[in-house]
Amino acid sequence: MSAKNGSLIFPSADGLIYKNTVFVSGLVIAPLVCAVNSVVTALALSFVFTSITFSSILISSFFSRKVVYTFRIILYTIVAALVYVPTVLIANSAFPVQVGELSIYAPLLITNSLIVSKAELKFYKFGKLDMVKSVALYVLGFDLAALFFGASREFLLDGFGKAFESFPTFPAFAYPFGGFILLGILSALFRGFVSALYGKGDK
Amino acid sequence: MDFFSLLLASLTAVLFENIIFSKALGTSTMLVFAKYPRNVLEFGLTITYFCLLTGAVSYPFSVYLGKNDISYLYMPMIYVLCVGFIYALTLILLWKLFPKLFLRLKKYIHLSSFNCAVIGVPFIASAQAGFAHYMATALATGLGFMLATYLMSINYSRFSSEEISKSFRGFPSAMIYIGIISMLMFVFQRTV
Repeated sequence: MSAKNGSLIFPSADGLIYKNTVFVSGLVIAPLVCAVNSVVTALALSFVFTSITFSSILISSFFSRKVVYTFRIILYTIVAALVYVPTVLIANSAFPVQVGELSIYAPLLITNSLIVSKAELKFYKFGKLDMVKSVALYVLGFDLAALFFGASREFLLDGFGKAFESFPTFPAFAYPFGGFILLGILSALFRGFVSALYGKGDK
Repeated sequence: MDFFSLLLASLTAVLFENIIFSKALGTSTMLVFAKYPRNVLEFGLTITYFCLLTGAVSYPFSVYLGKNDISYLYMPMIYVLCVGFIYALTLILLWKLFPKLFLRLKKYIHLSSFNCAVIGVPFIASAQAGFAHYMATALATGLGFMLATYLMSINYSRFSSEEISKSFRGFPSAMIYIGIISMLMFVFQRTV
């Protein structure tokens, strides 16, 4: 699917499934591995990520292509750092505990790969409307992956608050190494599922 | 803290509190660099250079501006400006003084500077512990990144082996591999 194919509703649905930000492309994984232990924390992360990434890429798309890339990339991260201020203020009031749990991983989202690399290599090659759709799908892909990861980890750590009492718990998954291993397993399951469903998961 | 204590603390951090294996910062950048085993040293030194300079430039801001209640709102902007300044200055100096090196590095230098490992330095280093400790953390971050990239690069081709189930090839097996190394370092850290 390319930007040239204007008949498609979504110019690049890849971001949601085939090139999912987390499970396929392996981008923005640090906050998941080290900070997301529950669905609510994943929700807080998704909110912060969506707000920073979507707004920054959209605002930065108005910078002239005539500015050399060396300076454009600095401008992108400055915009992200500016967007971070209202985002974290809102997030603090909506998810005060969870934003604390995200610790340094929340501000570090200002240099996430979608803003620093993908924007230039992919999103800005589309027209404005297609770009918005494409970014929205990549961001949604991350959000869904984060929620799935958070739910899986919460289930493994305490069975959703002992809702499943007979199910054994695995405290080791709370640590970063547990996060890496869980991410690897979920990523393989996701690819297997997509491959079985669409025959395209292992691109 | 004397020089040798600092050196020992840095080496311990490189091994056991590794920026990738214990904090996962810069993992996606590391995975990109690990594809090129011959350039691991060059990539690692570039990242270390950016970590050290980011540490040196951001330290005064962390000390004098990072103490009040709202500093968490504006410090990310200051750190980004620090990295941006170093990045632009480095590119200009390379362009003027070492044009051949500039042509070789310009393909990936933005990845070496604008990543979570480099921007993470001022967030994880403690300004209260003093400049030497701050710089030791920056050095440990860069060297830790280089060590992690090396450990990934030596096995990178195996992650796509035909012997691995199709769904686990590539990124999933790389994550499990990092998880196992991370677990080993965690156990060593607890034991030593």
